[in-house]
Amino acid sequence: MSARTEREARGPVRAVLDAAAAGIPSVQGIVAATGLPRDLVEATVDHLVRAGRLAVPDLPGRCVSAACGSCPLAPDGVPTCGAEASAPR
Amino acid sequence: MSERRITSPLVPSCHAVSVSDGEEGLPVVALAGAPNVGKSTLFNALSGARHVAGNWPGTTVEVVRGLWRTRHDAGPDLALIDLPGTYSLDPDSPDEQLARTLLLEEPEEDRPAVVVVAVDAAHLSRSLYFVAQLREQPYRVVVALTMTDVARRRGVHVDTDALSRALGVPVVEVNPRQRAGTTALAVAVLRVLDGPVQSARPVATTAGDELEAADERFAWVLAAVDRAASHPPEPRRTWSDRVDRWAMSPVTGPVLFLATMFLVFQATTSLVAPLQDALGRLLSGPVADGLTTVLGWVGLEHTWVRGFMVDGLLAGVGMLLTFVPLMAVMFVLLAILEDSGYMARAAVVTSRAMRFIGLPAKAFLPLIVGYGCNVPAIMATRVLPDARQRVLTALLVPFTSCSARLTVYVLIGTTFFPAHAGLVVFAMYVVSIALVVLVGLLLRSTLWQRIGDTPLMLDLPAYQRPALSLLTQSTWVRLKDFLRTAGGIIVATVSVLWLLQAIPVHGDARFGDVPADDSLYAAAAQTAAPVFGPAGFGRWEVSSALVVGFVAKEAVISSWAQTYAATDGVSTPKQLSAELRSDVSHASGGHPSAAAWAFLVFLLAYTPCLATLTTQRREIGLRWTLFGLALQLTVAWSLAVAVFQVGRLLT
Repeated sequence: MSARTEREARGPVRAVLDAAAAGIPSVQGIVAATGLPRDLVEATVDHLVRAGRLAVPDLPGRCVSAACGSCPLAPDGVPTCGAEASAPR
Repeated sequence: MSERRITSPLVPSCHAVSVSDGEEGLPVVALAGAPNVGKSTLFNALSGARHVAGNWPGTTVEVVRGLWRTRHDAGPDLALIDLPGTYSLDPDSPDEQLARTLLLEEPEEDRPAVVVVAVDAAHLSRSLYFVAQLREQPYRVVVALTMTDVARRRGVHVDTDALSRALGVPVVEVNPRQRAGTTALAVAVLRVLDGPVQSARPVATTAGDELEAADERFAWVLAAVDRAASHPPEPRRTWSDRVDRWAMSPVTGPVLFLATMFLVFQATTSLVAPLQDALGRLLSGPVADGLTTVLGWVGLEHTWVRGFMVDGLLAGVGMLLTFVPLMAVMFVLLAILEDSGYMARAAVVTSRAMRFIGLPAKAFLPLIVGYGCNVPAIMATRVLPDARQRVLTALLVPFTSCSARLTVYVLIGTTFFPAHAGLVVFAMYVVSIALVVLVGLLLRSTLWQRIGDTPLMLDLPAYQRPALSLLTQSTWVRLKDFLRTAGGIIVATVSVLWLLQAIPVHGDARFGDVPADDSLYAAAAQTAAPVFGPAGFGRWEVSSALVVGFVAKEAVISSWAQTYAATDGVSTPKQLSAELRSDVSHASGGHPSAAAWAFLVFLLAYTPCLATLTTQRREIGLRWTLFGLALQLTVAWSLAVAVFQVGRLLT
């Protein structure tokens, strides 16, 4: 069965969810795997994230400037790395 | 459906513009749609200055209401409401709930007469989901197609007539910033107002099945977009895509990741070893001599102060500082991998491995952070939505090999396996990954058999050449952290250690002038040493460092430096290595390699540091923290004993 026919049988949301569950990590990869238009894949991903069915976390960046406020892993902008994390608050 | 008359009073804001009372009793047109599609710009274009903002009664949501003078063919004025931006009628916020309430939950006679949905032509599928939902209700709907100029620049062309036929509602192209299309929009709205309410589109889904409903809606959207819009072809595969084919493959991805990390450790240890010893000789030679001379000027050369400053602080902290070049090189190499974009691909490989062994895919984030430092890694478990996932991941984080342990790996590697130090360090990281997997599987199969998971997607950055300025800055920030730790907790630990080594237990020794075996420190260490006998390193001089390491792993090296400075006058890394080799050889009955591996495994698996325990207590509670502590010590001791007992049979 071609990717498009298979996708049509499953529905676009299920196709995207199945592709993500199979480990395809990017929109580009899902477009290639499902044959769905990029615009629809992006919209479906957004919808699944809002529905809590898919997670698109920010990758932790380097603490180049110890700008913990912009770090996705810094709760409430509080420093979390190294000695800062152990410092009394 | 009769026209809606808005009679509910709005609470005007202090910036309200007064609106003619003539708005009462007019047909109500609601302007709806996703955020950032030009809806508010359209509202302003239609209502001009004739609007007022205020909280909708009973809510904290601000709604803007205005007057739309259509001026077409003597048509009526219309009351216009700018609803809060919403992607769908399944609310995710108070704003979206208000939109849903007004459109679906109010009695029919109180709903807007017409809904104008602003649809972004450059992101049709995202905008049309709302239309798909709205069309499941009998409603008068008009689509205002915005951002068509942006769409055209991207190669997207929309046939409004075809889209109108596909959606079953009028579609009008508008450009609110240039006030284009507003007359055509007025014509379309007045025409539908004059006509009957459009019937709902037929939908056949199972009630309550959200996924099926979303599938049906997106399939409907796809059919409409297929008929009415043309998109540019997908870009050709770039060289970045070709690299990713290998970097993120389920087979070659992990191999490439392990090979990369091996090269990092190999390069780090082979480049830095000569520097390290030179630095040690500098500190134990000219610096120690200089400090002694200065103390002599103030008459303290032959006092306990000299012992504290030279044999305590300088020996302990100084030995740790000889690892600064090593840490710097490793940080530079890791920064190169991060800035190039490769580490994001490594994260994909890792997350896939998490799911393969039944752990939540998102758990890879805290675990990756743990290879830097366990403290922020445990705090990072907050990204996991489920409490059980957070506890499970927080219990696994201590088994990730933080950068503080690296200094000890290198010392042990260069001491016992000098030709293969890089391989030893690499092996410890592989063991760490294996421990995370095995302990994770153990906990999953016992405590958390049914733990949910959410598939994961990642925004992968493009591959790029690392920027020198960023590499320098990143390396300096991390080195500064390492030095701050050395200057803070290590100085404190070294001071306490020296004090314990300066207090005599037996005999007539003076304070600060105690034979090493006779000190309070040695007495305490000797009580714990037998525990490590089965693991091959039961001598107090060796095993006591693990107790000190409970405070901070960097202190392990400082502890050895101080202990051997006191016992044997050791002052350089080479001398320290020689003493360690001798003591471990004796303790292990002539099997130093097996004992060294056992020591490394224990160091990896037991409690990282007090800060980690404190953070765990805060994030997962005392009960789970104590469970984790028991788990770490049990795994560490059991594995260390097993490694030594099997290793000595093989050597």
